Amino acid sequence: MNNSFQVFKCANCGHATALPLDGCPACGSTGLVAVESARTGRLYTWTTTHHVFDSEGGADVPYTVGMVTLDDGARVPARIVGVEPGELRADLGLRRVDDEERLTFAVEPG
Amino acid sequence: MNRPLRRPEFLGNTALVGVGITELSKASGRSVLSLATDACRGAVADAEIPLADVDGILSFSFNNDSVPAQAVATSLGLPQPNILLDVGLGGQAPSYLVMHAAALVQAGLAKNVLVYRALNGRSGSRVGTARVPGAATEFRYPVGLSAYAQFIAMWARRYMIETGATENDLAAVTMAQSRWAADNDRAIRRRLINDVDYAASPMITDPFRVVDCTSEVDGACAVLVTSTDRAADCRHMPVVIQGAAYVAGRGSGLDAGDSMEWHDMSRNYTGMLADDLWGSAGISSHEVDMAQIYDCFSSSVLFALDGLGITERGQAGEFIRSGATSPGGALPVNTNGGLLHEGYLHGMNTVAEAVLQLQGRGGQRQVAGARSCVVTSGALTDGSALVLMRGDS
Repeated sequence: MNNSFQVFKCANCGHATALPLDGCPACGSTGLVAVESARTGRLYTWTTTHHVFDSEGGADVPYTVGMVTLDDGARVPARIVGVEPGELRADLGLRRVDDEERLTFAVEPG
Repeated sequence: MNRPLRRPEFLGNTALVGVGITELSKASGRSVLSLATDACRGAVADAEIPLADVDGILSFSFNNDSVPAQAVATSLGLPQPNILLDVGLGGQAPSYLVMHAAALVQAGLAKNVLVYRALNGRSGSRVGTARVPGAATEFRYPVGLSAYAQFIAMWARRYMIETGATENDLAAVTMAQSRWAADNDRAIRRRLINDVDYAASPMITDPFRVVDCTSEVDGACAVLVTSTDRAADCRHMPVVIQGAAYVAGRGSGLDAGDSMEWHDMSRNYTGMLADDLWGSAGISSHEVDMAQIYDCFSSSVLFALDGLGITERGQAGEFIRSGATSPGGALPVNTNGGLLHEGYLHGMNTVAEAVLQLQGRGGQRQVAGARSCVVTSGALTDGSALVLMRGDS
């Protein structure tokens, strides 16, 4: 994975999705345009996992995964790093960090 | 969203008349076909309908963890089934397939239709951790998001953010249901859980502890659907299907665990089908006597009580703590202990419990005077529900 991450923006209604779909899930329009996604977003929800459910993607317990609402509107699952579990809260500002393995966001400084 | 109320013709004219359920265990030592056949045979015998009169079977499976309806028809020796249908769904399916069975009966495509779920869900492939293909899972798996416990934990967290609900509300669900399970010989977990036990239960994926999660089991459950005319000749009180609905909201996802396009993870399908469901049944959320709510995880009971309009948004936990859903309460909920305590037959056993209770066959946990029951199937972006009533109501 290079550091590029694309989302698909609807030319009709402006909805953005990260899923590779043939039509806009918000309006059904086929006018989806691939754009480089925002590097920043906000934490929508999360869970800190203590149990190994999957030895490939989730062996390194405990870890936090969350749903991140990117500034362009798309919502994606991602690892959340650089924050103590007790400090997690809704709408926490996040920035995508370079990670070869997986989509990862860290708390935006300041 | 003012939709005209619909009352499909099968409502009021079709009924559940038999229940078959095997022992639930952690290692059945039997084939899934054997379990399925046993449950189906049991449901037919329970109704006292001749086996040869069964002409339809519907079933659901997840990741090929079951056997096809055709195999069960063969194993039962059915002479000429007209409907054998398998669908690939999870917990959304039980009420949905009962609804389809009833519609098939009403349409004259079949007379007596079995609906079953059978799996070695503990000793065989385990749904909680099974990998499925798809574009959405390609986002989830690399980041360590692979299990339903994790997906639904994130829904629970968003519900807590939006409503102010707390872990105490999750605890209330599993504690109340453990009181029902104490009177259920079939339940895989029968231990009474208090707040100290809850707090001591290991955290799996927060806010879920072990006791917030269903227990996967081996087993099978079947119900038999027929017309109210034929139901009158069956052994037990017919349980008439008076309300039914299924919904998948916009952006319901590419697979059952996908919430990337779901607008609000603090609300599931229950709020979207409530008007259709109660409208079709002709009763309100405050008139129903009992609720059997799909509860793969504790939070889904909170979502459903709110979503169905039984409680005000965010008040489900307080309602449960008041004792309303416990033995002796005004609205008993999950009287078999729920999937949390009885075990995970993907909600087919949730339907079965509603039927047994309305027939007066709840044993030690019988709810006195219960004439109506709402049943839900599913926890996420799509799901189904029924309103069932005793045939003498």
